[in-house]
Amino acid sequence: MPESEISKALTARAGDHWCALPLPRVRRVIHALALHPLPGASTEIAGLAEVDGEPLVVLSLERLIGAPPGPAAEFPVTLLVEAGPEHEREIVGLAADEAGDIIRVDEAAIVGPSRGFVRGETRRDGGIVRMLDPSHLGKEDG
Amino acid sequence: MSTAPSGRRATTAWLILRRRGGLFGIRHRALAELTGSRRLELTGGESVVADELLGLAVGLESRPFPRCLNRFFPETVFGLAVWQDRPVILLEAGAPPPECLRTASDSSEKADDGDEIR
Repeated sequence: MPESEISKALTARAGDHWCALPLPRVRRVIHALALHPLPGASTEIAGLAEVDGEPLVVLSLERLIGAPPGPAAEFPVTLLVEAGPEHEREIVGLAADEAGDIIRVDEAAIVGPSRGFVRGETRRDGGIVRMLDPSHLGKEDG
Repeated sequence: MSTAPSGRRATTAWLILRRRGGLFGIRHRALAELTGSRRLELTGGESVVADELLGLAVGLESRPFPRCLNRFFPETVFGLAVWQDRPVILLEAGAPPPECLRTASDSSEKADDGDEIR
């Protein structure tokens, strides 16, 4: 019997949903950045920011996954993640309401239809964690 | 779609302007005429409207707009940069400017100071 594939992921809350991002794709977790408007962008883009002298496009994780509003964010964060296909990774920011723990995920326990950026769900501590796939960020089904 | 080579510090001068809260950069050589109002005529025949002209910037280091995010911002831009600690959208010479720059300002528009969203 083949062993389950275990991966590590960082959890984060967006609105009322807990999500998890594959740890190899997470570059940094920083306190929520000051955002500036990007006129003409869709609502998924929360704004533009500056990090260490570099420009950064920041997306709203809550809007990306369609999460309902949740508890007020006491410690909002911006997650710097590597998005896009494997051979063409680009750094983007994801605005989240809070960062959680690093968890171990049994790939065999991820269920539900993959919808691009949301690749499925798994159960953790009595709740549901939505597994995200940054390689599909921005695709039509993601 | 972004076209900027990454990490190149050019000697291009960019006119920095604010429009609807965002900062935009237009290549100085792309300007045909500054009319003295907030309307700028570009060499390609387009005109853009600014809420405020902020200054001229030289030596901006451009970065490409992330291709994976084109679906969320389908405008053609040269890239992104930082000017005075603020992110700037650099416009592509010869390409139609973003819609927000092409729309004429009218009396019903609120003044937008372009400061942080949060």
